[in-house]
Amino acid sequence: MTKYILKRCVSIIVTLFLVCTITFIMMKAVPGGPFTTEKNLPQNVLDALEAKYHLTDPLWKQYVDYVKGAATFDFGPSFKKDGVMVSDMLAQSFPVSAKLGLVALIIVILLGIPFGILAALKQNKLPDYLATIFATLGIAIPTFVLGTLILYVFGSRLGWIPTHGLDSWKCYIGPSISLAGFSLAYVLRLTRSSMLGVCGQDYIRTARAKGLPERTVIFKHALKNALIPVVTYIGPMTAGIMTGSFVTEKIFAIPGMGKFYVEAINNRDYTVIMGTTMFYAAIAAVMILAVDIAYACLDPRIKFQD
Amino acid sequence: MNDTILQVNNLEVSFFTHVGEVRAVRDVTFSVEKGEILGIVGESGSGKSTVLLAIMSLLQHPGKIKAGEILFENEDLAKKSNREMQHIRGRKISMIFQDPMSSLNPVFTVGNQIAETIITHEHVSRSEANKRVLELLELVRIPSAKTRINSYPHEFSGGMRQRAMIALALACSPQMLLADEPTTALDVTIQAQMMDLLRDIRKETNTTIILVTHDLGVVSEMCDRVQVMYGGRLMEEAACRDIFDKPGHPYTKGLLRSIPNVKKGSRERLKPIDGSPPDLITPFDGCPFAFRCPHTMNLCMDSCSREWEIGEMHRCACHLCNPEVKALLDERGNE
Repeated sequence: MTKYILKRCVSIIVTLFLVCTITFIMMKAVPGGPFTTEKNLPQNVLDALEAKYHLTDPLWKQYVDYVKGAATFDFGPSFKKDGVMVSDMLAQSFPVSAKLGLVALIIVILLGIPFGILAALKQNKLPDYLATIFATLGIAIPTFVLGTLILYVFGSRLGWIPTHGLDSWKCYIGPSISLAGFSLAYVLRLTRSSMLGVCGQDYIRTARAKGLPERTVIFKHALKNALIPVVTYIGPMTAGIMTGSFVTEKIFAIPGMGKFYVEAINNRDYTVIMGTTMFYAAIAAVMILAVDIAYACLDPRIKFQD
Repeated sequence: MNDTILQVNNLEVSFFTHVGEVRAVRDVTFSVEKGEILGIVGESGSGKSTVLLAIMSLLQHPGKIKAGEILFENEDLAKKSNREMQHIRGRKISMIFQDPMSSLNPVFTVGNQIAETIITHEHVSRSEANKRVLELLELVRIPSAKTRINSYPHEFSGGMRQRAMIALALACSPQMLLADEPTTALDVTIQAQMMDLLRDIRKETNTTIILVTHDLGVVSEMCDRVQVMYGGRLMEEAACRDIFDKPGHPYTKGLLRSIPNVKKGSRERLKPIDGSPPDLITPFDGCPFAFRCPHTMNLCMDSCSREWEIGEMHRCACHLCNPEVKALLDERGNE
């Protein structure tokens, strides 16, 4: 087990190195640079800026410096925000996104899985139809519509929730629901279909034939099997939710990571793009590892190969 | 003996599907004596497994017991709630299924799954239950039971899994064991071992066994009494030897003719029963075998025969066994 995790950690490092390289190549391949937008700067100012940020160095040197920096989690200063270090930006914005993401994740798990089970148990009855309608809506409605709708109806019209910021617990309601919406619907649907599949299995009939109470049949025998595909989805989803969503953060004016990320790409702010990409990749890789470990706990047929 | 443990009266089971009502079991009446091995034979779709599932109240939607009673210890199981049945399933009546590969839960150890039954019904501690599990695994002759108790089903071979299923079924020393084609999914040598095991268990524990199978070889080896089902109806029932020696029903005769003869040098061709199994959706009150029977009369199309006593403990549901019909046919034959 330990050996397996160590091995996986090494492969994560390799993955991150590749992500770093590809991001670097793509940034450089796109024409233009951080200082070519907005008004035309005088050539000497431009030269001075480029020299200051080492953009005049040969490409290979820039690359080596990037990789070296990334390895120590130092992505250098932002090109656009004077004097702000990328790592400081991440350190400030990630906790904001992560806190919001955690609330959204709890909503997804606490509502998605139980209601998915309920829908499966009441197949083709009212609760199932309601859950299915809800899931279809949740998957079909894009975040920007859902977020705007929540903001307009509950924030601006009814005044039940604040329209921006994250100062009180009430502030979390709107953004976390809009952030959770799609994943909640997806997890619900996935749990339902997975549960339905498992309930038709022979071993569920065996469990009933043993005279077990229905709740043991459902929550012990069926659920443990039904959760396997759900866990597969929840892992990478967590990485996505925790690192913030540009749309949600923009609508509810939240200073999270998602907003930085997209703004950095628009501004061609190389170091910030690099930093956020690497950060996201690292979290995603760790979550995938977590999923694999969770797998082995759920299903004894999956064994780690040391 | 001669102590009835189970009495099924006029059982009707239907599946209410989108295309119509499928009458899987029609007017089935039989009884099971304590300690006997009763075989139920018939082809696929004859309703034999459905009878077992109805006894256990494990019919899946859209299947329903439409009418009839299932008397076990003077109580009608057909009228019991699911909760009441939970106290009977696994404790008084247990069941072994056809496919041992998929009948055990893959994510729990075999020991856990057997112990669970014991804990549920007898409220004993886990260590007490584990001790019992060990005994059970030894009873069904699983080698090195001590280590196997912690194995998962995927670490077992097919035969071992069926042994584990039998151990599971025997966990609470039930009065009756329902075996639904327990050997169909296993290879022949394992089949024989399984049959030996079931026979020994009956000898040691005097457990009543209902064995559903389509394998007449298994029946001849194992059973005290046999029932033949066709198209959801009981066609014939008799002591095991009588079924083979003097079958009464044309269907039983046809069934026996379609067993390959492996005697050395035998070049006899198999005689399959012509036609195909009946369609159980279209309402039909005649004999289900009428369309394939070589002796079909007009009478057979109109009504299904009642059961006629044609020997000691030997009953047959065929109009040909009706003394009046017989007399009439004899008359005609003489003319």
